[in-house]
Amino acid sequence: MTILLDPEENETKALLACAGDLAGKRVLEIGCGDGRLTWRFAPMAAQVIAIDADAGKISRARQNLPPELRERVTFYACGLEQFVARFPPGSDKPFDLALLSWSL
Amino acid sequence: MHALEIIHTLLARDGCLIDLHPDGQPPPFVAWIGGQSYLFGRLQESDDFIEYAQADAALAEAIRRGWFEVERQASFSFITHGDSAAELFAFLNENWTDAVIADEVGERAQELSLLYGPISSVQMSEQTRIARLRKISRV
Repeated sequence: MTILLDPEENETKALLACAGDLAGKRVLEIGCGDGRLTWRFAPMAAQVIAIDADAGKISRARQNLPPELRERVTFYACGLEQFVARFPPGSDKPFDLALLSWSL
Repeated sequence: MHALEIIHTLLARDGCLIDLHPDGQPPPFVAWIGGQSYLFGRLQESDDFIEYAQADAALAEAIRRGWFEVERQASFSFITHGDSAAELFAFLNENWTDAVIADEVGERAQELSLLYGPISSVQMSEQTRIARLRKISRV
């Protein structure tokens, strides 16, 4: 099976054009799934917290996390309300960018 | 609490939000045969893509409430590519819970193959919106 998602990288180009310079930025990705989009922008950011309520997808994301991103990307299997209950505003540094990737 | 209000509380004072979601129009299926493209149907959803209209409404509400303002917007085609209609349909049925692919869509793909030759690839193209919104910090 050779299903390709975004083979022309239109999504990646649009996201990076919209996000601008991610150097030094702390990003919260909501609805990250298995990390498909996370890999595209995480190398440019300082830190990425990526959440998804689907534990199976988060498990795959953790398995597929490239070694060079392990210090930079953290996945949580939870929805947004659970995340903010665990990490309420002020408990950590605020995010510079929140990314709703097909999840609103 | 509204999801976008939660996000507002998590962002830095000069933080921003980027949202991506499809525009809600049924995405077309295109078959490539001998270098030519042929439209042979569209994906439907059992709930008529209502979630995308709801996403639009949620963003509009967040802007109305003064949580965010739009800095820029754009759109792009998000393509899902398969080597055959059967392969693409199987992927969609497995990964898209609300997907509805009418029988006549698959039949049309077979007709094209009989008329014009073997299908080399099939694509589904979703027109997707991307918006960057700036957090409005309450004084």
